[in-house]
Amino acid sequence: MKKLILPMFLLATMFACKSPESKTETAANPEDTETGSFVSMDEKSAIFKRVMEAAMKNDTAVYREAFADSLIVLDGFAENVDSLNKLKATPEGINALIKGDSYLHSLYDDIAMTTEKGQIKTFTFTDGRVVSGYWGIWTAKGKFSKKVSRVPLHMIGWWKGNKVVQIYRLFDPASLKEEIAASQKK
Amino acid sequence: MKKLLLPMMFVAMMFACTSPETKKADVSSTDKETGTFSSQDEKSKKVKELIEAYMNNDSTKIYEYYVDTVKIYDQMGNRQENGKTIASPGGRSGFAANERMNHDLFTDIKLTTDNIKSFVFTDGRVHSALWGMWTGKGKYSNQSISVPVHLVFIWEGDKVVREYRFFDPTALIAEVTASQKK
Repeated sequence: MKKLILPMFLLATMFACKSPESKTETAANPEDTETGSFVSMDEKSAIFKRVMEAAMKNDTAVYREAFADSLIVLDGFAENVDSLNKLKATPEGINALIKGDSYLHSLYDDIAMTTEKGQIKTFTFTDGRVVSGYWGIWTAKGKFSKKVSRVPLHMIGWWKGNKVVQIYRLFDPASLKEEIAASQKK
Repeated sequence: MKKLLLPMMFVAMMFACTSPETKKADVSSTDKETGTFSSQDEKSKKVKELIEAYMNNDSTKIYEYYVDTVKIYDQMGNRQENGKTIASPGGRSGFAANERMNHDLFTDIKLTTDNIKSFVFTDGRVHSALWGMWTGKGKYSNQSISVPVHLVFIWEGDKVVREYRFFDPTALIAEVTASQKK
């Protein structure tokens, strides 16, 4: 009996070492290359948040720290789609982004973006790609129309190392167009 | 020495049982918004089925995969109350009617389905998302239009309970206006 204790102990620990079977909603498929994990309290999500806070304050210095000089900016407006149904990048990348975001401060007061828990997440793909995403609401008061605008905003930023190299923004541009039109009337 | 063998083996096994370190996103123990994602799972396939049925003006998948009280949030500007977007009225049947109305306004409706993912949160929540390009030809304006679209589906069990839709509605509104002029 004593001779059996050691092999039985070994066998028992071998089974104990196996991970418990967990019932996951998305069964892993080995052919799936679009897999990974996500978090919301990491350094890249924090940088994304800092950029948004800087945008609210018209502090473009932070943009230069977070974005690559060769940043590709994709704004998801219908008018930005080319004949091959691909989104055209905004010319002049980071400079256009900074100019555009600064221009918003000449149109609006009290620019704010919600940054509630979970609204910014960072996704790390199994192959190493990293993207951060934002789902929130942009608000501001028009300097010309005096109207308060609330616009849901979705953004995705693609990282290379510690810099965002491409950014995609999607929102309803109606109130922005209205405010631009109001500014041109005055 | 023999007396030490068993405790030493036990300690060795304990260390052997520790998972190997893998390169993952930094996970903070206080972070509740964590999880995993994939693209070839059952829920991503259901989203693809929903979109393919929509392209064919077929509402059956809506009735199969959405709860009748589904809330659809079109993420347009100035449709918010208390900081949240107001749900479109009508639940599942209202949503199905709206989707059919798209086909009254446009022909050749397509929506790309090559970027669909499902996200399983550590606490069990499951969301699916699509990033794609919607295309169609206006029946009234005769204009072919392309609109980038982002959809987020919130699941409870095997049913969608909420859906969030981000897109630039300019072309859709223009087509509705064109239809009312004729």
